Amino acid sequence: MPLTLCALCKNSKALIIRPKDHQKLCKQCFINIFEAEIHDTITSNKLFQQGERVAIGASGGKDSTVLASVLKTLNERHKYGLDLVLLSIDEGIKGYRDDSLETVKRNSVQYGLPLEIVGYGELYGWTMDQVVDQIGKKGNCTYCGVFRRQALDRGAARLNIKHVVTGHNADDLAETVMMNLLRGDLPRLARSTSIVTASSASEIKRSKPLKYAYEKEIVLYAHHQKLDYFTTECIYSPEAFRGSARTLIKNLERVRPSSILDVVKSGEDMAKLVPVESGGPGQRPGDDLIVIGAEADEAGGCGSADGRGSGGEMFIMEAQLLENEKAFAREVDITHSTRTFSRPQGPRKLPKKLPQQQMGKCQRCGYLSSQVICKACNLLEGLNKNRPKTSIRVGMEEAENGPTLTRRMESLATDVT
Amino acid sequence: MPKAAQISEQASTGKCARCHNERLTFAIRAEKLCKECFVKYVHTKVIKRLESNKIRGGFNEPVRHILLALSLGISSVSLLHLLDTQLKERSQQGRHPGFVIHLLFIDESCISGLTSSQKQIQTVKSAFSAHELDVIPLQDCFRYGIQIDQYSRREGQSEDRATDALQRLETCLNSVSSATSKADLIHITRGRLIAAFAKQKGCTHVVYGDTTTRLAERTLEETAKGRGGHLPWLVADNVALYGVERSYPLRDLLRKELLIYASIMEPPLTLFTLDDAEPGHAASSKGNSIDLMMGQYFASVEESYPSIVANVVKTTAKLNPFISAQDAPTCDLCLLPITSKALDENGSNLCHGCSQTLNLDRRS
Ligand SMILES: [Zn+2]
Ligand SMILES: [Zn+2]
Ligand SMILES: [Zn+2]
Ligand SMILES: [Zn+2]
Repeated sequence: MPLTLCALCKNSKALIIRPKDHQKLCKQCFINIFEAEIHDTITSNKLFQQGERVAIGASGGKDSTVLASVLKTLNERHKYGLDLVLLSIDEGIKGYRDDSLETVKRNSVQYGLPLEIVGYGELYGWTMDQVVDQIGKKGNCTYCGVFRRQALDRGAARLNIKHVVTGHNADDLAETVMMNLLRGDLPRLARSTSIVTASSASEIKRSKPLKYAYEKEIVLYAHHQKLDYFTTECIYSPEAFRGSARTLIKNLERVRPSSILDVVKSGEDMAKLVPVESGGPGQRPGDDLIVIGAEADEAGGCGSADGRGSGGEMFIMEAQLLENEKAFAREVDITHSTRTFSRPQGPRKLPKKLPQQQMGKCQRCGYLSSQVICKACNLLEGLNKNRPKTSIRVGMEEAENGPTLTRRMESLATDVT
Repeated sequence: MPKAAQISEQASTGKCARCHNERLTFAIRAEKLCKECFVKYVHTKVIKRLESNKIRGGFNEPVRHILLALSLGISSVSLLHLLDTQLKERSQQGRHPGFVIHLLFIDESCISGLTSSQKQIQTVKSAFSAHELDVIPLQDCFRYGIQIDQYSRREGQSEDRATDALQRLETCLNSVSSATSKADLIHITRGRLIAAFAKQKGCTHVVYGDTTTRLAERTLEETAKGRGGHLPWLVADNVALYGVERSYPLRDLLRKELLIYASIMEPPLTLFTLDDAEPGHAASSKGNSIDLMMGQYFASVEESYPSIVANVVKTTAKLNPFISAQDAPTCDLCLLPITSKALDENGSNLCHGCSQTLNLDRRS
């Protein structure tokens, strides 16, 4: 068999076919170009400032492990002057989280980066295992996502860090674009592909340096760099829309490998077309980095299960849409028979202006929120209401509503405000 | 995709939700309707679109000239049948027709290797003789000044008129390697040719037979091809594209609803269709393509979640094309605004999607 030489150095034997564009490369050239592209993403988007303290959201999985490794390498090579810290969330999922936290602890030693762990148990009084015991396996990704978002912010605040980087990759973003199209969710579509999300009120900025990196290349990088990461995926299945979008993206990649980045590109361009009243940047260029609603659910969720969720969320939405349609059809019948052209009164009547989202503080926990009660507190209220009395631990008697949580939050959030 | 035989199995005897008669009924999204009420339902959806898109001229207005792009797929044939029925009814009632339709079929048999369309064209011509029907081959694009080979023409290859147009088109289509890119290129060429022909005929509007299911498919297809920023021009109604207004009067109907309609007409409308005129088919002969894959995906989503399919289209319709496109340069191939810089920077004037179709595929 003829020897294929690396397309870049034309010197070494090509061992890797790049998933992104099928270029044949040697191992070293692949490592170099993978790192160079992330460096390019960082510099062209001016993600960091000299001397900045940055927390890496570390789960022990491939994405965040590669992110930590590459950031450490680039920080030294290009003298970013960053002070990097690993920040981990302990969701309290036995078997999944225990082992992956061990991985993060080893990474902390391997990369010489300090590690901070924040637990759902200490933050919310509920571990994910307890949540699942209560509500079953369906829909728990919502809890996981909302809780995680706050947990990372609170962990960062505790460390007095204002910038958190996460391991979201191109596949995650592409999946989110398709998911939001399927869900018909324009506000989320508008913000799902921005590389930096900052709340107008929050001091903590989020960014995604791996935004343009293919999941398959992340795996290849981890493999060739012999990185120590945790491979077991989250045991809870993704919600149905995400699962459906995930399958779609995987199939698209097979047909045309560039599709993943093309979808991300489409998402970025569509975001510019989302009208202001639907949560888009509208005609105010430059505003598109500001995201209202710090609880926005982001790409990723839990690890990748096989992509076929229960279908529950799609089923519920289908039923709601059908109900709206029936209501609308009844109205049309009325207008037709009375031959009037005035707008019918009825269920479809919308308020003239959607209430402007305004950032304030959650009345329960003090966390930044666009609602009076933040999403986490809302979810917790539901959980606490149904908590079987027998499972209430000592000191949790008043957990029916918020005071316990408030105190927990306060003790953790000394640096906020 | 359900075929005619399966559709009759879907029908069942029961009470019609609208006229309350005990009849053979067909299931639509929220209710079961008898044949008469079902046909009325389909017509009402189309008439509403024609009115809201101002395709039908009003009482005091001049008659509008509409070009109907016929692919001989079940959707465009059904659209023809629906519009023809409405025009006949209006003329029987002695009412102002509001519009006149011209039919155009783009013959692609020479490049796609599909079945010859001549027999079907004759059948359509005799059944719908009230309307003018033209057939032009895809390679006529060059006669209309559509230089789709601008970027693929090799050095020294002349564009002089002596060069056989068909050969020129084939060379251009063969220069892109994947089935997806080829289908994309054909799609753009066809769209521009239809619009150019419409303008020449003095038509102000072009109507296509795309159903809501097809538009949802296209929304995700174009997103996958990196054309998300162009969605308002591609799948919305009342957007002037290539100098004529384009709209989709069947946009409120699901593909499965239209299939029922086509099968309960007498004769069934499948009499006029080409089996391989369904979307994605031409490209699929050369391997899997995004179009084909998305078709399969939506066929399954439509089965269980028809309202979600419809909602995708309603959502996309809210995107505002005028926010970022002002003063943007336009793409040499698809003629739409280039809202952000394309990947390749060798002096070409292409949008991201077109540059993917023309250049990047060739590397692998
Ligand atoms: Zn090399
Ligand atoms: Zn709260
Ligand atoms: Zn009836
Ligand atoms: Zn273009």
